[in-house]
Amino acid sequence: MKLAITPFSVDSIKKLSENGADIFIIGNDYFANRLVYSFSTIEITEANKLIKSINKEIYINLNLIVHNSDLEKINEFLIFVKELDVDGVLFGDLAIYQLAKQIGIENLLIYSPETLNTNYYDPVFWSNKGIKGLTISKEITLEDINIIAEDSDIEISLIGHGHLNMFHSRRPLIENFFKYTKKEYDSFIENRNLRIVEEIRNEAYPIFQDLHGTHIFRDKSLESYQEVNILKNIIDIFIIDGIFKDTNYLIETLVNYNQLLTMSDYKEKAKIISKSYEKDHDSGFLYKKTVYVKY
Amino acid sequence: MKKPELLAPAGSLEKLKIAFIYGADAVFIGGKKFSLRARASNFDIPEIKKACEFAHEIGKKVYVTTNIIPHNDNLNGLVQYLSDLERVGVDAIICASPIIVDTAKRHTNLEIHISTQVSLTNYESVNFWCEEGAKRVVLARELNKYEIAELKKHSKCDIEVFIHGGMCVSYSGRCTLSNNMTDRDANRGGCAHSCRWNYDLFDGELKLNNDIAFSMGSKDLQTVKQISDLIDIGVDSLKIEGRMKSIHYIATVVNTYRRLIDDICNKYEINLPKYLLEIKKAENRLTSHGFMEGMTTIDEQLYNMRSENPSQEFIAFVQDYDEENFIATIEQRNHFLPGEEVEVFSPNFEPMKFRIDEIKDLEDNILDVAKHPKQQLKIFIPFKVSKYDMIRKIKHKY
Repeated sequence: MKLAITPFSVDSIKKLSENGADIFIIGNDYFANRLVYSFSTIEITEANKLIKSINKEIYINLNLIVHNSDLEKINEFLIFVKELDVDGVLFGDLAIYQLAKQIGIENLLIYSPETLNTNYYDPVFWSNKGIKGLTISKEITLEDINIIAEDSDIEISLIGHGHLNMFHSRRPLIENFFKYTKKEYDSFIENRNLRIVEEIRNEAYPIFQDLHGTHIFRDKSLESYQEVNILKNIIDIFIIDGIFKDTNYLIETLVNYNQLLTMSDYKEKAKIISKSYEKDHDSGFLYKKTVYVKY
Repeated sequence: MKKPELLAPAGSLEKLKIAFIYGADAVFIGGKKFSLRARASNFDIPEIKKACEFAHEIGKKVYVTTNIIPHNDNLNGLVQYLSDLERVGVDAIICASPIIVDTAKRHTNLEIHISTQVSLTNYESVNFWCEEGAKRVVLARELNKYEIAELKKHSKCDIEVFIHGGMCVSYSGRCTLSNNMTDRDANRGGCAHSCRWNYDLFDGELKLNNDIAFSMGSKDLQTVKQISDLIDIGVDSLKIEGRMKSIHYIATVVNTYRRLIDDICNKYEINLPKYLLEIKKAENRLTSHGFMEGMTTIDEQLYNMRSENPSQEFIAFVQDYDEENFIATIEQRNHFLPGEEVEVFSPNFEPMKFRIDEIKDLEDNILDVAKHPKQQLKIFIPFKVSKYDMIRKIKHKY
C-alpha cells in the first residue's frame, strides 16, 4: 500500500517524501475541487520534474464537475497532462473519461466521484473501461471496503485521513446569503475559516464558496490509525488529504502512519495515537453503517 | 415542432390515474426495491403490473425508478426484480448505478434511462451513458437553458429535463449531509433534507448571522416561462417531480403544463399569467426557475423560512353527475360549508366557479357542514361535470 498526500507547495514535496509520502496529488483549482493549494501549470511542471527526480509518483486531481463550457479547456489540460507523463489522473465526471479516451490516456484515470463507488461491481465496470483505478466512496464501512477491493484488478484507493467533503452545490450560497442580508461578502468568498452550526447539533461544519460553488465538510477529520494495518492488505493507495491543515500536520500524519506500518505489534501504539487525535478526529463511516430506509 | 413527453410522478395507483387523466404522457413510479424516496408509498410488482395495464390501454407509459446507489448488501434479488419489471411490462427503468444498468442489459431488454442522481451536466458525460446503451438521460438540475440547448445539440440519446418540483441544493448524488448528520443514506432513499435546516454561520468564533438563520434551502422549480424555450430546444421529456405530493397537486401541475405544451405546439397565443395563476393553486412552497436563466441568486433561495400555503384548497372529488337534475355525487376531501364559493377543476375545461347551495348525504339528509373525510355527498352544480373532476375553494388571494 502506498501513501498518497496533497502537498501545499512544490517546496514541501521533498520533505514529505523524506517522511514517507509515495504519491503526490496536486491540481489546479480551475480543474479541481477542494484542493489544499492550486498549482499553476508552471508549478505542476516543476512538481512533476521534482517528483520524478526522487522516484516518487504524481497524480493530477481533475475532479471538477464539468459543464459544456469547460470541455475545451479540459481537453487542452489533458494534453498538457499527457505530455507531463504523470502517473495518474483523478476524475469525478465522466466527461474526463470521454476526453482522455480520445487522446489515449484513459489508462491513467482513477475514478473518484466521492459518493458513487459503493459496491463490488464498480471496480469490475471500470476495469472493463481500461482505467487505472477507483477511489472508494467516503461513506463505506471497513467491511464493505474489503468486499469492494477484494477481487479488484484495478488500483483501489481510499481517503483514509482528512476532512471529508459531504456537500457540493453549484450555488453561491455564501454570497447569496450575504446579499440577502445586505452585507458585504467579498471577504467571505474562498474563506476557509467559515463554519456552520446547526440549531440542535453542537458540531461545526467547515463551509466555503469558490468558483465551483459551495462545499461543506464533516465536523471532524477522519483518521485510520487503528485500521491502517488492516487497510494495507486491502487497498493499494491510502490517501491523506490535508485540507484545512498545513505541511507540518501532513508530516506528523505521515510519520505516525509510517511508524505504525513498520511495527509488527502496532495495536497499542495505534490506540495511543488515535486517542491523542480524538478531540477533532474520528473514524468516519469505517464502523458506521448508514441506514437504507425500508418501508 | 416536436411535442415533448410530459412525465409526471405517481406515488400510488390513484395518483397515477389522476396524472394520466389530467394530461401526463408517462409517469414514473417507485418500486419496493432499489428506489429512492423510500417513504413514498411505493408499488409492489402486482401494483406495477396494474399500473402498466392501465397506462398501456390508453397509450401511455410507466417508468420505474431503480435509482439508488447500492451498497453490497442491497443487491440481493436484483436480477429477479428487474426480470419481474420486464415481465409486467414497464416501459423503462431509471438507474444511477453501473451494476443496475449492466444487470438490466445482461438479463432483460428493459429500456434504460439514467437518473439525475449521477448529475449529468455536459454532453460528454451524457454520451458516455448513451454509448453504454441508455435510451435517455435525465439532466442535472444545475443546467441553464443555454447549456441544455448546447447539450441537446451534441447528445446521442434522448434528454429529459426537470420542469417542476423540489430541488436538491447539492449536485444530486454527491451529497452525504444526511448520512453524516442523521446516519440516513441520501443515495439510498434516506435523505433527511439537512440542506433545508437552519444553521448559524461563523468566521472562526465570530457569529456572522445575527438576525436571521443561515439557510441553504431552495425554492421549488417552476418553469412555466421557460417551457416554450425547452420545446424549441427539442427536449424529449419534461419531468415533474413529486411522488409524495397530493392528487390535487399532481392534477393541477400536470394539467397546467399539459395545456401550456399543447397551446405552444398548436401555435396558439400564450397567456402566461393564466398559467402562472393556475399553477400557483398547487404551490405549497415558493417557486423559481432554478438555474434555467443562469446562476442562482437570492431569488432562487428560501430565507427566513418563507413559505405559503396553496391558495386553493381541494375539498371534493367528483364521482358521478346526474345531468337531468344537475346533481353531482362527490367525495369529501376537506372541510366545507354551504354558501362557499368554489370552482370545478377539470381536465376537460377551464376552471368554472359556482356557489355551493345545499349539501346532502346519500340518504338526502341536509348537512350544515361537510366534515367527514371521504364521505359521499350530493350537491347542485349548474354545469356538467365528470368523474375525476375536482372541486376546490377559492381564497381570493390572487
